[in-house]
Amino acid sequence: MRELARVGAGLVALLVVLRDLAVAGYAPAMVPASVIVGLLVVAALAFFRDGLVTGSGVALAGHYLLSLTNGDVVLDLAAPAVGALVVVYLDLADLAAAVPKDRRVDRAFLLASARRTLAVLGIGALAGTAALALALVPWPALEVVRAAGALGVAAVVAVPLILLRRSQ
Amino acid sequence: MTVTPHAGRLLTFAGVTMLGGVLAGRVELAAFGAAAAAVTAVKLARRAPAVGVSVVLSADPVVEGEAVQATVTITADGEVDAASVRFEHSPGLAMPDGAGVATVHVPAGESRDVTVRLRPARWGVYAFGPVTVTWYGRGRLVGGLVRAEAETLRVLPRAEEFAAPGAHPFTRALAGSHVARVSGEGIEPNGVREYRPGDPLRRVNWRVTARRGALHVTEQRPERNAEVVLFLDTFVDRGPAGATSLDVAVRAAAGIADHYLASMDRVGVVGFGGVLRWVLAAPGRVQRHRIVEHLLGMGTVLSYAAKDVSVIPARTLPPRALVIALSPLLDSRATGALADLAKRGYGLVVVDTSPRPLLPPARTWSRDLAQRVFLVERELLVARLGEVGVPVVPWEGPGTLDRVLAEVSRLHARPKVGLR
Repeated sequence: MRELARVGAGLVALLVVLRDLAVAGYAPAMVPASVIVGLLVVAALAFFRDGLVTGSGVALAGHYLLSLTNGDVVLDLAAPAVGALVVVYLDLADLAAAVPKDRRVDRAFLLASARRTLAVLGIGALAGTAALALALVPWPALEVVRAAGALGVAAVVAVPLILLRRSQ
Repeated sequence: MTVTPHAGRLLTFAGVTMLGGVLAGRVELAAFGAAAAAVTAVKLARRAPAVGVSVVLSADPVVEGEAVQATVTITADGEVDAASVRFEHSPGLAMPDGAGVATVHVPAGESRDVTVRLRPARWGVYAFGPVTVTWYGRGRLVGGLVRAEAETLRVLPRAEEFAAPGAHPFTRALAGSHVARVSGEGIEPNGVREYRPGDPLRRVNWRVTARRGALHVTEQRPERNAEVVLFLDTFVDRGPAGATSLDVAVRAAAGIADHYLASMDRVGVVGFGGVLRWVLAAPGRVQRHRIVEHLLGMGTVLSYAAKDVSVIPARTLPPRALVIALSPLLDSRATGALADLAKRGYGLVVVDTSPRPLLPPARTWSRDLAQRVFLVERELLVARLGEVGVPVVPWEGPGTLDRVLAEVSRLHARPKVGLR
């Protein structure tokens, strides 16, 4: 199961990188960025270090941002799907890190994990689409939107942390 | 229950991408952050499980060679995404399906069983566990560790088949199944003689009386019981795993004890080695369990202390007890004690439990020479024990003791001449 999750995470990361390269039109600046991201992903999946996994996820997002810049994309409507894929990558990498090397693969566990991964993909895509739709609404003042965005970031990080601490 | 790194990872990713989106003015990155935040929120909405674990063995005790199934049950009131079961166990407890970790998914309010087959290498007391379950709930945002204490598995020695139908050298004045050498009240006929005053009339043999013309009675031999002490040499244990000298001794002791206890005899055990352990001689089925439980604890304990029979409590070796010593004859303290016992007048038989072959094939001439010297010394030791009236026989299962018991009977039946 561990190897399956590891390979799955690697494939998802590869898919994201390939899609970015396609968007950027294989711009020269993308090659070193892709190599760095690839190395980070491989290191994260080989060593399962918390910082490496988080860093590789952020690097995938950065790679995506770079591809948008290099590809002169004004608005990428596939962003929710790519975002959901990066979250799936993070989830699969965590699954691979959490599960020890199996003596045997439990069928129910395999099915439940597959179901959960699909759910993460669906929820991520839906939430991304909603966020994108919300961002595309013409707001009266850009400063207000930025301030609301900053508040949203703070809320996104703080609220779940508080909830988790209280549930312990 | 603790928060896992996955929670921090998702939140960090959400924060960084949203902040990046705001700073770079790219709404696409906000979608990334929203995806991570939404996934975290949905995972958090699930109930944190309370996880329990228990271990049950399919049988305890078992006999050597039998397989045991251990069932680890994981219960949870909320959904457990992954529960990895890690087993610890005593060395010698093999898992035919392969050791390692099993990971399962436990639905909310249900339980999952993880079964493993266990095969003990030999007799003894084993521990299966502790069993540690590492679990993750709420989409692996929280996790914890639960442990089940170790279960004890007692593996009884496979009693070797044993029978000794011949006469017992010593009998006690209590009813049993050994025919005594002297005449008395019993069932077994012991010849016909002329009637003497005081003989009961029911013993009159009317056929012989009619033929001879004078009253004759049938003599009988009473059925008596005997006392047997199994003397196990636990100073050394040599041989391949599963067939060491102590393995042979313990299995043989179980077989001999079974045989004599079934004959209503009193059987006791003395473990003479680094640690002295004993079970006083007693009859019956309970004594069988007592002896087997005692045998489970037999093991070699390294000791350099000089020991002789004086350290053995007198009541463990009753007078007129047949002492059956099970020894590989490799430790001088044990062989010295056996010679002492013989000199003190105990009926003693030594069963050689040394592994076959005793020595590995010699590859060099020096080793060959050393082995030959060792074997000559061993022969000399056996001869010396024979001189003090201690027969030594290798363990060969049923009938091992028949010939030597007859010899011991003859030896102890001889009239003893001495000066006062």
